[in-house]
Amino acid sequence: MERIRIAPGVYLNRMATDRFHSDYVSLRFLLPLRERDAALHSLLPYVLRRGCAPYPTLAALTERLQMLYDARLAASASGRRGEIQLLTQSAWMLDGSVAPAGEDIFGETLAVMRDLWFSPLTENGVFREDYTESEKKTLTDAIRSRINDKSVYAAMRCRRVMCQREAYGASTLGREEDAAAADPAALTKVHRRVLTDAPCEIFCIGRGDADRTARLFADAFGAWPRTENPFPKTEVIRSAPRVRHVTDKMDVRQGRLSVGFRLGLTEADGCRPLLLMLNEIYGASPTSKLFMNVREKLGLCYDCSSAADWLKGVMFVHCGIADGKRRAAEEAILHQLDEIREGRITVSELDAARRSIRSALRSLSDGPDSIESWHLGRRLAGQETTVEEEIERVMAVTRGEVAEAARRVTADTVYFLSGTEAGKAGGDDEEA
Amino acid sequence: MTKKHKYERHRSAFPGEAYVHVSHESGLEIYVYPKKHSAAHVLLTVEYGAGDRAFRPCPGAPTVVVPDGTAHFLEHKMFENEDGGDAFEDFAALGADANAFTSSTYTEYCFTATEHVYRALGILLRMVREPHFSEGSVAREREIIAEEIRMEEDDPWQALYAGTMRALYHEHPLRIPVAGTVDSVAQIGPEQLRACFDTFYNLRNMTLFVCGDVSPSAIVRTADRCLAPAPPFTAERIRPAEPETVAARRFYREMEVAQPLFTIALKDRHISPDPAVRLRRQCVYDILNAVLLSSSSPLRTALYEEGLIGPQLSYGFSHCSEYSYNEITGESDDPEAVYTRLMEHVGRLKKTGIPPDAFERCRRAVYAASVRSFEDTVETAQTLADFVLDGEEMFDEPRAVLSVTREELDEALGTVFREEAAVMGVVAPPRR
Repeated sequence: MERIRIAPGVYLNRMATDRFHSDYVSLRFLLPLRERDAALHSLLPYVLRRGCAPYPTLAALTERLQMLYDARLAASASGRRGEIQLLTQSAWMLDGSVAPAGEDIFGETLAVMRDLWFSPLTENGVFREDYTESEKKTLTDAIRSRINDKSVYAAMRCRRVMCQREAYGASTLGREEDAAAADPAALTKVHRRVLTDAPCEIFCIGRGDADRTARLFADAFGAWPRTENPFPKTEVIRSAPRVRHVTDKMDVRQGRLSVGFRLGLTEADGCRPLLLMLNEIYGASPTSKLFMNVREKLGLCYDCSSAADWLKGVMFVHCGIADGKRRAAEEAILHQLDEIREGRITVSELDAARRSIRSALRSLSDGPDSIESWHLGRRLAGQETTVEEEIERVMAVTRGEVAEAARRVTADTVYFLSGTEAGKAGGDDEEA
Repeated sequence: MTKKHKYERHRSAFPGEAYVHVSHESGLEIYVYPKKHSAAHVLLTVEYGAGDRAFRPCPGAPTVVVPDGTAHFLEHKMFENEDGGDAFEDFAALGADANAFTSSTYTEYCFTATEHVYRALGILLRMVREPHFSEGSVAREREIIAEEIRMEEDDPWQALYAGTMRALYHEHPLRIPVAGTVDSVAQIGPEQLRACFDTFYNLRNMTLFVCGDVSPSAIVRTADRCLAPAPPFTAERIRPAEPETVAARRFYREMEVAQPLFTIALKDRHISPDPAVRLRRQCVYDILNAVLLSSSSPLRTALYEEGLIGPQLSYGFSHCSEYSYNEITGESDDPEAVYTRLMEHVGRLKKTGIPPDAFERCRRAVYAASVRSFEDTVETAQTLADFVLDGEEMFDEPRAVLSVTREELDEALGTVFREEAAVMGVVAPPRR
């Protein structure tokens, strides 16, 4: 992946490959994740999509994209890495080589993407009132709908409780009250700030002409007074002083247990391969300790897995359990971490984890989005690592190193979304 | 020794896209789709699903009726090894990531691997021919599956789908939850699992699909090594007859959701025994749905601008030899109004005909979707399986899409969008 500067704070990452029949281009604006700004960040792509100067309605925009063989323009501010909110606009289109008449889908789609961001529809210098109001409802509905998926909801609540004094606790969708308070002037200000100040990584992957992409966005950004800013920083808390227990009650059949941990290490410490191994052995695969023991041996749950944010240095375990099994599940989850701390990792566990990660890393090249995700992740962590180097380092991680890393991990928060039956029995948990 | 297998090559209109079909002398049908990606995806389907609740192992034998959820239970237990170990671990030892799914009509076992594909295939081919289950392990699995069922029961989208299918069908197996219920699963023991295994897990009732950087002859050699010719497949499935009418016009349920979720489903009576006719009908309805419901449509625009629907609206025509229905799903504060407006809009289009420009745009969009289905190994293998299991040719699709005419859409409007064929499912927040 070659990276070239095309404007202050704007970099084009290019990779030519004929592996796909489609082309992929994305703009990744890097914004500090902040509770009070998140709603406006989320609202922006919704409103931009409603209309720009050449395509003043969503219907007109969609008509244009359908003629371009359903070129997919997707925008969202829901991505997060550490305490960075990713405002992403991507274009994924068929390559002209598979279009029935060899149309220039690539160039035409990029032009639409540029128009969306650089020629928005305004009235008196601000976004249109009606579009803004309408999209505020869309955002509010999305914020409220988070309750629909209980596992996602429990994970979000756990993160919020654990990181209530850190930016990380914020949801990328933002708060309902901030969505309600948004107006065209504030949104227009955010749009300007994004185009002038936010670091932007552009990715161009596939058969599409990267020089053309560079010229188009160099011109577009060139019309704005850009400032080159560093990437937003992520606050890292290395350990938890004590374990906090919080329970919410809801009318559900199955309780959801989420446990949040401080890893003590981050990718910026150069520890990603080690943390990948720890997470893999602990709970990231069907041969992990959590799956094999908490599910298979103890039969406590159907799903039980761990996931981590390497930039922030946190890890979460999520599982769905019957209400009566909450204590047993918590003990089992913590016990499996103790097993790793004490070095009780079999040769086959170690080997399976190495192979699984190697396979996942090798598979990255199979999709433009996974190629992009890898490079963006390393860029954000300030690590210059190739996939091959990463594989080598993963293969060299030892049992002792994993155990030592696990000993740095501290449990911070145990969150339980309880069914109403348990609620009647009375809680044994302290409230945050 | 050269074995006698039947080979058949299938080529697409696009360079490099081709697959080989081998009728293996063991009785297994094998499809190999070489693709130069890092990860190979292998999936094996058994034509035995949640819908097969009653069957005769051979003609004249007494009918066997099994509790709901047996096929899914068997899928879980097939991963158990002779020594009580877990096949997941065997796959993981080779760096392969295994999984399995059960649908109404078939059970699927799959893995993704970047190395040792042939050895992992050996494990898969052994696993589906040798069941090992004990009273104790079946009892433990019951607990795990009960948690899986409870998790699904808390998923409002799942509840919406299940309720809508029960409204659409009187007898069809789509009514049955694939995993069964906590009560039905309690009745499943080793003897039922064994009976189903003996009846359906016959190589002549299985199909293997491989997509990745593999050689068809090496795949066949692996099958040669692992498989002996299977006895004839003699099972008779007992499927209840399904009336043409819908079972109920409405399904309504209250759950913890932010906003009502709805599905409008239309039952289609026209299922041709000819796969080519079905493929064409699928293309026609895909285009028709895009004309009616994609973001460029006047109906969608009006519903969105009036706040009757959110930005997300999904729609699709599920059409195969076993069932056929058209479905529209979204979130709305007033689902009945959405339904009324949809039918009014269809009524107008029946009079005016499909606009030519909308037709052309939507045909292009559906063409693009058919090309996108062979971008990565997982999706390609799955798409190929879907086509093959329904007797269709996946490479015919892009061409078929481009040959659909506007007149066919006009005709299709009248045959499915009828009041008496329509049901609506709603999952709404509790009225407090």
